[in-house]
Amino acid sequence: MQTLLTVRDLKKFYPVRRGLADMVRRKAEKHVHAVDGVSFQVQRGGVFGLVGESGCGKTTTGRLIVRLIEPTSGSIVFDEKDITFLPPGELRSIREQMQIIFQDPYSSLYPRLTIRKALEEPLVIHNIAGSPEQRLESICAALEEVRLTPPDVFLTKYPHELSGGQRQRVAIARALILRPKFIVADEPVSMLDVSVRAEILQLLENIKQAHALTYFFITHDLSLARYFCDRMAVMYLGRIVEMGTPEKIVEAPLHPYGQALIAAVPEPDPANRLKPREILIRGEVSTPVDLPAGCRFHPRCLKAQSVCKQVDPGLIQVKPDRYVACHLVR
Amino acid sequence: MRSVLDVQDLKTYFFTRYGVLKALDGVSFTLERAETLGIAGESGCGKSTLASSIIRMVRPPGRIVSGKVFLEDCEVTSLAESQVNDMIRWKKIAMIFQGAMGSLNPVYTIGYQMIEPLIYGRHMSKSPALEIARKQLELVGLQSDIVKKYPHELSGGMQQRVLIAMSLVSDPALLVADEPTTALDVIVQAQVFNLLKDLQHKLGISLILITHDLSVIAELAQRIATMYAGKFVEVGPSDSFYSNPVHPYTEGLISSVIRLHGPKKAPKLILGNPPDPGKLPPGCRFHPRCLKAEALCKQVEPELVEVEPDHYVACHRLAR
Repeated sequence: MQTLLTVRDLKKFYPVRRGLADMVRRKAEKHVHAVDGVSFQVQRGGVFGLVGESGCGKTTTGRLIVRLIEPTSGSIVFDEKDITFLPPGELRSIREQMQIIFQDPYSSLYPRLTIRKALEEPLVIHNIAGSPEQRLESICAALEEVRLTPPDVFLTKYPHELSGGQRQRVAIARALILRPKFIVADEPVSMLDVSVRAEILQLLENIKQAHALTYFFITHDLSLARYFCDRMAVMYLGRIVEMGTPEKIVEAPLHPYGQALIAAVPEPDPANRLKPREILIRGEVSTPVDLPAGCRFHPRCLKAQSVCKQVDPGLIQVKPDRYVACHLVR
Repeated sequence: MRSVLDVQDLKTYFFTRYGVLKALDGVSFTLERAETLGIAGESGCGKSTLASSIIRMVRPPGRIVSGKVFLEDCEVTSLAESQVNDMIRWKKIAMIFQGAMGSLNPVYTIGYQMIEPLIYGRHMSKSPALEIARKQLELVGLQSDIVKKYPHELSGGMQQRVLIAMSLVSDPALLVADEPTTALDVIVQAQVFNLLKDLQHKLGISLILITHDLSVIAELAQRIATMYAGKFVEVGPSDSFYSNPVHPYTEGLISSVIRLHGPKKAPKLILGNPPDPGKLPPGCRFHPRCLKAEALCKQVEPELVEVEPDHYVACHRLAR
C-alpha cells in the first residue's frame, strides 16, 4: 500500500494568558501542549483510528491535518506535497482533496441554509460544476449517495427539520461532494443513537469502497475503533503512546495506559455486575501546561520506575507494525 | 413488606399546541431493596420522562395523567407539591443527572451545595451538616477538604462523585441515575460504576439506571427493561435478557452494540425512526420498524406477557 499522509513530529501549542503582573515579573510564557510531537503515516485506502480520552489532543490533531488550525511545528505531507505551512491561497486546492466530518451534526450545519444551499456552497467556492443545473445535479447525486431520497424532498429543508442521523448524512454529503481522497471523521457517530450509529457506519463504509477513500477516524470508543479501523494509535496528553493494528492492541495492549483503557471498556455481559472493574491507573490526568518530567504518564502509572520519572520514552517499534512509548516495553 | 418502589400504569402526557404527546404511556414495575433496574431505549423513548415522573418533576405542559407511584408505603402521586418537597425529593429519592458539569452551581462551594438539603430539609445547623457532607465525600472516595472547593476546580469524574455524594447525604431509599456516565471517559466511567456497586453493597440502596448504552447497563443491573415509544416492551433478569432477548426491538438493540472482544461483527441496524409520540401507530408501536411484523401487529397492541419466570415481553409472536 502507498502512503497518503505522513505526519512528522507535529506540534500545536497554545499560549496561556498571563496577567500583567506576571509579564512585569518576566514570568516565562506558558503553553498548553495540545499536540506535542506526533508522527504517523496513513496508508491510501486505509482507516487510521486515533483513540484517546477527552483532552488528549485527538481532535486538535485532526484539525491540524486538514489545516483548520496552524501547526506550531512539524510536518504534514499529503499526497507527496508538504502542506504544513501552505499559504491560504494554495490551501484551497488541497481542501478539495481533504474534507472533515464533525462530531455534532446539530452545530456543524448552518441553521439558516437549506440543505441545497449547504451542499452548493463548496461547489461554488471551489468553482466546480459551473452551471446551476450541473450543480443541482451533483447535489442530488450526493444526497442519493447518502440515501437521503428522494433528493428533491430534502433540497428545500432546513437542518432543524431533520433528525440527527439525517443531519449527519447531510454533513457526509457535504464532505463528499468535492470528491475528496481523504476524510477526517471526528467522532462522526458519538452523538447518535445506537440504531442510527450502525446505519452511518455502514454508509461510511460504502462510500469508502465506492470512492476509494482514506479515512482518519477520531474516536474515544475503543470498540468502535477496533471494528472500523485497520490501524490505530492511542493518544495520551498530546502524544501517541501505542500504535499498531487494532486487534493486536485490544488483545494485548503493551502500554500501561492502553491496558488501563481497555480494562475499563464496558461490555454487554451481565456477569460484569458481580465484580468490580479493574482500575489500572491512579490519579487524574496531568495538565497539558506543566507536563510531568520523563514519561508523561508516569504519575498515573502503576508500574512506573525511577527511569520513567527522568527520561521521556520515545515511540519505538517493538514488533513489526507495533510502536510503544514505554521504558518497560523494549 | 412492600417493594421500595411500585409503579402502576404510569402515564405522563405533554399537552402542546401540536397535540398530546404520550411520552410515557402506561409503565408498571416494582423495585426491591438493593436491586438495580436498568432502563434502556433510544432517545425520545420516554426514559427520562419516567425518571422525572417518579420524582414528581414533570414540568408543564407535561402532566402525570394517570397511574400511581408508591415509594415504600407512601403514594407519591397523590401528594401535594409541598409534601413531595418535604418528604420525598432528596429525602427518599435522589437523582443523578446527565452531565455532571451542568448540575453543580458554579458560584457556590461544593460544601455549601451539599449541605443545602440538610439545612433546609432537615433544619440542621451548619457545622453538623458539613460533618455529614465530609463523611459522604470520603465514602465516594474523595478528600473531605473538597467542601471548600468550587466545581470548576474539580475534574468531570470528581464532579460526578460529588453528585453521588450529594445524592446520598439524606440517606435515600432510591437513587435514580439518568445517563450518569455518558459524558465521562471510560476509565472514569468504570470508577463511577465501581463506586455505585460498592455503595449499593454497603448501603442497600435501590437504583434505577437509565441509559441508551446496553453495555453500561450490564455493568450494574440485575433486571433490565427495554422501553419503546413510552412503554416497556421487555422486562427481564439481565442474564436471560442478553442471552435470550425475545422482543425484536431488544434483539435489535443488543445486536447494534459494537463489542470490544470476540469476533468482529457488523452492528445490525434497526430500520426507520422511533414514532412521533403525538402520532403513535395503531397496534404494536414497534410494528413499522419490525422485520417480523404480521397482520395482527398492525391492529392489536400486545400486552406484557410472562414468558419465563420474571421475564415479561409485549409481542404477539409469543401468543402462539
